[in-house]
Amino acid sequence: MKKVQVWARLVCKAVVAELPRIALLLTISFVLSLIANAVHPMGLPLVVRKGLPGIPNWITNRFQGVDVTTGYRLAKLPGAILVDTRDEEDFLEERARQAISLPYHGFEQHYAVFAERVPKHAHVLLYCYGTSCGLAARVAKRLVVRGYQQVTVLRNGFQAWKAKGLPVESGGKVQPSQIEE
Amino acid sequence: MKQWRNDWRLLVTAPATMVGLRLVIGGIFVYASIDKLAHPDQFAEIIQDYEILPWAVINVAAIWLPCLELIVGLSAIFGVWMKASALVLTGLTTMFIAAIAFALVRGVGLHCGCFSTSASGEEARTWTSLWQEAALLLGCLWLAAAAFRPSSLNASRTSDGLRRWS
Repeated sequence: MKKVQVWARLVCKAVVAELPRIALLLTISFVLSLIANAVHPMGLPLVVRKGLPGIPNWITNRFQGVDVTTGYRLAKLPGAILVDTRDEEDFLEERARQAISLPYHGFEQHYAVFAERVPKHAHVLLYCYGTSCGLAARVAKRLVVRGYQQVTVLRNGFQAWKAKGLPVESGGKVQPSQIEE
Repeated sequence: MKQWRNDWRLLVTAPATMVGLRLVIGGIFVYASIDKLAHPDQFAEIIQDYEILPWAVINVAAIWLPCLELIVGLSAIFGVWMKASALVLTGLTTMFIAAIAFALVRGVGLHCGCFSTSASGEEARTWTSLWQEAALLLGCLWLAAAAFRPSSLNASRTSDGLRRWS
C-alpha cells in the first residue's frame, strides 16, 4: 500500500512538472486551429449564435427557415420540391404529400439520383423529424455547397406538418422523376 | 523466470521498440487528424451526435481537437517533449473511449469520427469494436511509462561504449 502511495506521488509530481509543456502544446494547437479555421472555406463560427453547430456563417445566410404552413404554400408553386431528410423507413411509413426522399443518413448514395433529377435552380424545401431535429439543416448545407441556390428548411419538421393537419401520404416511394419541374 | 522478465523488460524498453511505438502512435494520431482538419463542419456534426457537449462549444471542439491530435502526433513522431505529448495522447484516448462508451450506454448508434468524417469511411462503433481504442490507450500508456523512464527513451552510453537499457 505504501509502495503504491509513493508511486502515485512520484507520478503526480512528474505530471505536475510537465504541466507548463502540456499548456504550451494546448496553446500552440489552439492558435494553429484558429488560423486554419480562418483560412478554411468551411471555417466555422466560434460562437453558435443562430443555426446549428457545424454550419459556416456564409451557408447559414444562404438558406432560410419558414414555418410548415408557409412551406406547404411554397411547395405548391412551380419549380418547388418538398424533400424529406428523415431515414428511408420513416419516409415510407408516412411523409408529407408529394415529398421525395433524400435522407441525411445515406446522403452520398442518394444524392447522385437527386442531382440528376432536381435542377440546381429548383426551390428545395427540406424537413426532418421535429423541433430538435437538425438533419434538414445538415442536408441544406450539403445542397448549398453543391450549388443549389434556393434552399429552405421547414421549422419543426414533420411533427409540425402533421400537427397542422397538412396532407400526408404513405407507402411506395415517390421518385424524383415524378416531380414537376 | 527472472531471466525471462529481464529479457522482456529489455525488449519493451529497447530504443528500437520505443521508436517504433512512437511512430505508430504518433502516426495514428496524425492520420486521424487529417480528414477532420479537411472537414471541420462534418466533424462538428459528429461531435453533436454524441450529445455530450453543449452546442455553444461544439464548433470550438471541432476546430481544436484535430489540430491538437496533429501537434501531439508530430511531437510523438519526432520525440519532442515526449512526456508532455505522451500525457496528452493518453488523455485524448481516454476521453475518446469515455465518449464512445457514454454514447453506447445510451444506445446512441453513431459514427465514431475517429479516422474519417464520412459515414461510409468507417463502421459504426459497438462495444466489441472498442478494443481498437483500448489497444491505442495501452500503447499511449506504454509510451507515457517509457517517457517517464529516461533510461528507456534515451540510451546512455557507458564507458565501454555499449548501450545499457535498464
